[in-house]
Amino acid sequence: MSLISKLKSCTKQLAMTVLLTASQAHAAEPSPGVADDTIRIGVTGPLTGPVAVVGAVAEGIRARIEQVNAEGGVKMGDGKTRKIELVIEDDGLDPQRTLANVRKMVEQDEVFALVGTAATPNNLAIGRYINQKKVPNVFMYSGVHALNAPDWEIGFVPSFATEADSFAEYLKVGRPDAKVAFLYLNTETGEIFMKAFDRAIEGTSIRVVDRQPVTSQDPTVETQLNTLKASGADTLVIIAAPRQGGEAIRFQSESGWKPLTLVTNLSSAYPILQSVGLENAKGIITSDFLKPIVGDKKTDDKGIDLYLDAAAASKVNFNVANTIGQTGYAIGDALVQALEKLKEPTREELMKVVRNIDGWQNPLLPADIKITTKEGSDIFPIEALQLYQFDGQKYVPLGGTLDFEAETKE
Amino acid sequence: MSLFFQLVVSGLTTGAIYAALALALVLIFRATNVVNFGQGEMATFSAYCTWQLMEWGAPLWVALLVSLAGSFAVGVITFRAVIRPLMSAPVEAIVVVTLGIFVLFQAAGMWLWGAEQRSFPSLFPDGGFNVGDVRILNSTVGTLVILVMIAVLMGLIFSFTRLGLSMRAAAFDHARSVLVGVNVERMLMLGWGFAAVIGAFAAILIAPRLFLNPTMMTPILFYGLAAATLGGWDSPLGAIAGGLIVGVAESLGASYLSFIGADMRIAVPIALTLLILLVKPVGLFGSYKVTKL
Repeated sequence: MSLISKLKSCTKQLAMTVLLTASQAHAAEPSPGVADDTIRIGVTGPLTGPVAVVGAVAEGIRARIEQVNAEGGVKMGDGKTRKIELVIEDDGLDPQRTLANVRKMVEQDEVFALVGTAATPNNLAIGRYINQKKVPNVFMYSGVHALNAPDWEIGFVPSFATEADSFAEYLKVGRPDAKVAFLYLNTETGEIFMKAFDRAIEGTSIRVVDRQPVTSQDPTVETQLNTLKASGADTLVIIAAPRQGGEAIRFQSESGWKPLTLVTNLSSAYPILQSVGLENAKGIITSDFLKPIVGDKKTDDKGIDLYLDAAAASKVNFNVANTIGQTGYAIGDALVQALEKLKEPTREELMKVVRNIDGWQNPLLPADIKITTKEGSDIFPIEALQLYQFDGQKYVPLGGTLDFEAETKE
Repeated sequence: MSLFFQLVVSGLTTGAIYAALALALVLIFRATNVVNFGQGEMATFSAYCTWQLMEWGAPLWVALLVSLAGSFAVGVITFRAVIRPLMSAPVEAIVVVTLGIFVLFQAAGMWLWGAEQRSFPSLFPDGGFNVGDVRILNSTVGTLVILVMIAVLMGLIFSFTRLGLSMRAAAFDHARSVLVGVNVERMLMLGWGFAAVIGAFAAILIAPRLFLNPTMMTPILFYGLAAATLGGWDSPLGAIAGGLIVGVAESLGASYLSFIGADMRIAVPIALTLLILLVKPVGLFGSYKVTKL
């Protein structure tokens, strides 16, 4: 082949490529994982291991998705109704396994997107990869939102900073001279919470007198709690995984120390209080974005009943009062709503939709807590919380909804 | 100063938990010469069975006795099913099998009962009492008393009964024990059965503190191994002392050495164990093996 003809064929190829790309942009080839009647979604979380209780997120998602599939599927914005195929993988909460799972799900199973990926370190571990592969990681189960793949991820649950704000709000009114002791998880979770709390109490007479770290693997937290007790604090804030958090809640009833106890929703779920003994948990205060659900009895709340039906039909392996499972269900519902709004089944479109949510309702969220995001300015879907106090039997709302919409700073 | 004593007491409370598992580890080691990494998970499984029986309406003591008997059977079956076929294999192979036991029992527990934590009734009255400013929990005292009783009983059986002697012999040297008329297989089987019972009892003692869940023993295993090593692998009372020392060292170390963060807590007891082993390689209460020439 002469040089000229070589050049010619090269130009031709180039022109073809440009044309092809242009036509693709117009017709919007569906992204991987999308067929005419199905769409494949990946979930990874700890189904086993020491923190397997967080696996309830995946179970909750499954319950909502199976419910939607049983009704025929989700009618998406392009007019086609698709059933959602879930690929669920176990990572034992080990970030390296999360990454391996995500690679497998993206490259072999060809999932369209990931949903409800559990825990901050795990989402951090997959950030680079999903960024490179341009795979949406939506409604992560992480209280830290600004991670390392900002273009391809969005969180769901309120930021720990929002929770911290709600606690500070409560103390400003309820105990303006509080001497606060922290039992905190020594990950970003605890750091972000305490930073936001410190910021919120600036200029007040609330003081933090001691902080003790805890990991989710600690067999007991006796030592930390006794040190906090000796600090002279009159208010205890517990930011810990269920086992350590439960022990800390129990401590107030068996140690003779009776501080005002505020518990983040990592360990305030009703089943955790049951394991502690409901009587021992009397008086604790928590904040939540979910409707309180204590058992599988039908209520007159449509959203809750929908959830209870799904949990029963899918035979979920968690107690229906478990807020982690409820969060999974709420995430599943948000996914379905997002898919309904996709005008074309592409990954880019999904990200556009979840970045511009204009006040979605959710079956498990109270009517005045809505899901809202705004491209460029608001990456926090839920920024309102309701405070509750436990009366020994159930959670009783304290005051109205605290709305921090568009105020969250991590 | 009262904080210091309070931290010692909370170290003892946690140490009692480590001691309980260490005791079961030491028993199986004495009776079979194998460290069973699955011991904790087998014990958790037994605790779940106890809980399940109570859920079905059985009183605590009935549930306890039934599940202890059941644990003995499970120990024996485990031995027959997975250890006996490997009796002539190198000890490393058996250790790997015990890791398999670990995975199996944990997975079975999670499959049957889910991962959520549950309350487990205590054998002792709730609450505690004050000595000066120091708060001591009833369950700590109760657990320690029972553990010491078990350890003394175990020590007596191993040292002064024919059964104990045969068990030690069978564990020490399979081939020569057969020559002197010890039924090695039966002794090892009994060893696994008894160890499972002690493990189950340990789990039942500590489940109220840890909340019952399929992985409650997993973080304890590391401390239990350290405690058994520290106390000496052939001494039941040593295991308890080891557990308590590990607990107190962890509590004081993490509180008074400010550079030790939450992730490094375990380093204190491990460092202490290393130090003691440098001075006395068989552990505090371990005995040297003497070979007569």
